[in-house]
Amino acid sequence: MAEVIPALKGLAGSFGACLCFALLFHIPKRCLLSASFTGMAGYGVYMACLALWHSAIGANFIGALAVAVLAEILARRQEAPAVIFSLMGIVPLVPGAGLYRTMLSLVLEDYPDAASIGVETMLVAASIALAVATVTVLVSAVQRHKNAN
Amino acid sequence: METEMQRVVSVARAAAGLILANGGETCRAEDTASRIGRAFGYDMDIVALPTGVTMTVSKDGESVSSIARVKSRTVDLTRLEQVNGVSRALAAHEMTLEEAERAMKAIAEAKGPGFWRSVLAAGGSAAMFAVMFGGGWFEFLIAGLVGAAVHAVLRRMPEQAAASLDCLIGGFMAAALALAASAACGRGNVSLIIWSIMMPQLPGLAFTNGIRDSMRGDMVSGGARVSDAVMRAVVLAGGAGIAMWCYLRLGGAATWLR
Repeated sequence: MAEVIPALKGLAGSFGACLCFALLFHIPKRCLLSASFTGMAGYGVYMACLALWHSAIGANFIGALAVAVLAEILARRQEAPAVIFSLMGIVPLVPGAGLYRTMLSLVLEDYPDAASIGVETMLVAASIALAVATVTVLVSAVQRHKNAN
Repeated sequence: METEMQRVVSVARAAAGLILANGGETCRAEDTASRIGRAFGYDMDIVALPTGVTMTVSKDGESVSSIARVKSRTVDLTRLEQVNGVSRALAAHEMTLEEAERAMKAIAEAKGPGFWRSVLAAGGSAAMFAVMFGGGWFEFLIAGLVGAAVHAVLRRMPEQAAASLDCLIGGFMAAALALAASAACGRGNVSLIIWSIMMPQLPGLAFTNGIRDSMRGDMVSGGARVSDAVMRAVVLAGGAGIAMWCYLRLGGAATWLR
């Protein structure tokens, strides 16, 4: 029971944050809810993977992979650019906390901590970007192949 | 009198420029412009970069070349979607070139969200991030207020100011105001508040687009976007770091920041 409340807060918070973020980046109105849902779904997958494996990098990668796949599906269904959904989807995954902790360690002159947290933050960012980029590049390659035939 | 070729160039150039200026990927700009040209039977050669686009349209030995400079880069996904719609309509011949020229002009001139609306949205997203990370009512409230204040200041900044300056001020204000508010109230999880406010300012889109561009072989824009995103994230953290350093030098307790 103790694990349910943070998970619910995470889901509700990620949905709300994405919704506000969507307004800030002027997302087309018809995509508002589906784009925020992408963000919530990605964060949900991330939380589940984190609870299973305790690996931030792996959990972020799988979460971003889910976001990218969902974004491609929604883009087809709503006839809108996939980047709208993938951008909103990765917003809750972006490693803001890691960046803060790296900076804090630097300010406290705790360099070993700064190095290890900094590297992890960089790898998290890279894994998110890599997951999204891999899916979009694969999808466009498949599409090109289909168009060629 | 404009020839059809010149019209095609001007529409394709406007489309590519709008996509690059509003957060679209380099390959999307190139694909959209060449789709428009091919729809009218022209050969298209396009090089799109984050800062500009050059293209040559040719047919039967004649050609027209054109360059467009992309001056400001923001994120406005409604524009992106509208340009996408126009190019689809052109490719399906549901729209004439004259109509497309007018549509591009209308998209470029349309206003984004207003001042108060975007301030509210920025505050709301920071507040909801605080909830997402497990914060309580206090964190929700402070993150929302500070997030809105930071955005209000950044919106009022002159447009020619570099993006990195935006990030420096944004990071500094986020940490300084969050520390001040929590210290004044004597409670709250400061670190959670600070990173909740930093979340919406992080360049996630630029970084992802950069990696994607590199993977597709657009080396120049890929490298440029990745380095832009990394620099902005570092500067944002640096701004917060300056505020945290000042707080420690003023005698603040380090344990409170953990």
